Amino acid sequence: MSDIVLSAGVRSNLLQLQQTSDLITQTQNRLATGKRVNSALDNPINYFTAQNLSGRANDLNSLLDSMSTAINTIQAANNGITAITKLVQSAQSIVTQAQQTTDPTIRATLSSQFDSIRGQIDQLAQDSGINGINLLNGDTLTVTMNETATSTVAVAGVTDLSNSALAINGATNNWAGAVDITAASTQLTAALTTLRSQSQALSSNLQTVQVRQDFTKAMINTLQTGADNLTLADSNEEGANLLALQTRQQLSTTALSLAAQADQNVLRLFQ
Amino acid sequence: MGLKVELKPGERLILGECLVTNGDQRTRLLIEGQAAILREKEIMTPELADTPAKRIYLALQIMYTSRDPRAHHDTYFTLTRELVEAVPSAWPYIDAIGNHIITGSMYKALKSAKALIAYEKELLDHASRSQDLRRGREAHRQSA
Repeated sequence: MSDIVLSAGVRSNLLQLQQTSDLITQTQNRLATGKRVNSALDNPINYFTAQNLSGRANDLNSLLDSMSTAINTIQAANNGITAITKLVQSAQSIVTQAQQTTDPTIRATLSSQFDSIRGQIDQLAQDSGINGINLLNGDTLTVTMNETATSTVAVAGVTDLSNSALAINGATNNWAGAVDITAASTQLTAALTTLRSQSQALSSNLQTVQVRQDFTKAMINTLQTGADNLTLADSNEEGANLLALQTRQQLSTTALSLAAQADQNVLRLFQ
Repeated sequence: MGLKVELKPGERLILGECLVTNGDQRTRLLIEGQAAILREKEIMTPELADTPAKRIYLALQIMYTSRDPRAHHDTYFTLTRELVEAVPSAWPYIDAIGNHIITGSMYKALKSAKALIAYEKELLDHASRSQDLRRGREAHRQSA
């Protein structure tokens, strides 16, 4: 009869499961007896739990780096949009100038200026990337929010912010006819609207990532505080600490500010 | 796919920034979209929040129902830090709550906070039981 062979991964999962169930039994035991850690075996388990937990804090820490890169990428894209918007606006003023004159030579000069601005828009759109991800060039940025990567925020790039996507066509006919100029003007107005909505989408994404980054930072801090003490955990002492904290919090400003915050919230309707 | 909620007559529900009160008959609602949803029985008020874990639940609830949760992060972290310092074994609970917040699922965070309240109750019951025992023993000693 051959034994069942366990792969390394399964074995380590099994070990973890066993440790967890040990931990639960132990906690229940302690709560029932109210006894201090009474065998040497209790300590190593707590020790490894603490290690496991501070390991998680480290995992979160490394996620922070990728979050700040993500924030930079979004900001770069946003800067790109701002610059492109300015270019589109100056293109608009060129169009206005062209509309005010009938001289074909001046119109031709203005039309060539317009075309050179178009070229700059294309270049800007291509240069707005960081780390190989350019949100203005159709790339998608994926930000991982937890260490198991079960939660991610995907910032979809603008398909393409070059002239072709913004639908700004080159000056036709050297702007000889008024129709040619009006066409350019309409295209520019539409382009501005597109830019504005893209910019809004980016800033809302930026805020999401920023909020989570701030939270993760503070979270790591709290987690590290607790992990160090875990090896000393004892239900008797913890119960007593908890009672003391309960009394202390009633007198502290935290409870007051919490009540005030609830009062500014929809929750006040419940009182 | 929306969320199905069944309300008893007169039962209340927080939906986004509004309080919805049911009329005098049972109602079944199907809610779609992104908004904070809290049933009446899940709501914690400042008066009811009289223990550290319940305060954390309240702070989470304020974060969940507010437009700018970042404004309340400070309160939340003060509360969790105090709890973790007093009760290091609550760490896994705080960790779970934090993970849900980071991943943006505030409702699950509230559920984990409920587990934290249950754990706190175990500890508090235990603490008050052993205090009673001690008091009983002292009374016994004095009378002897």
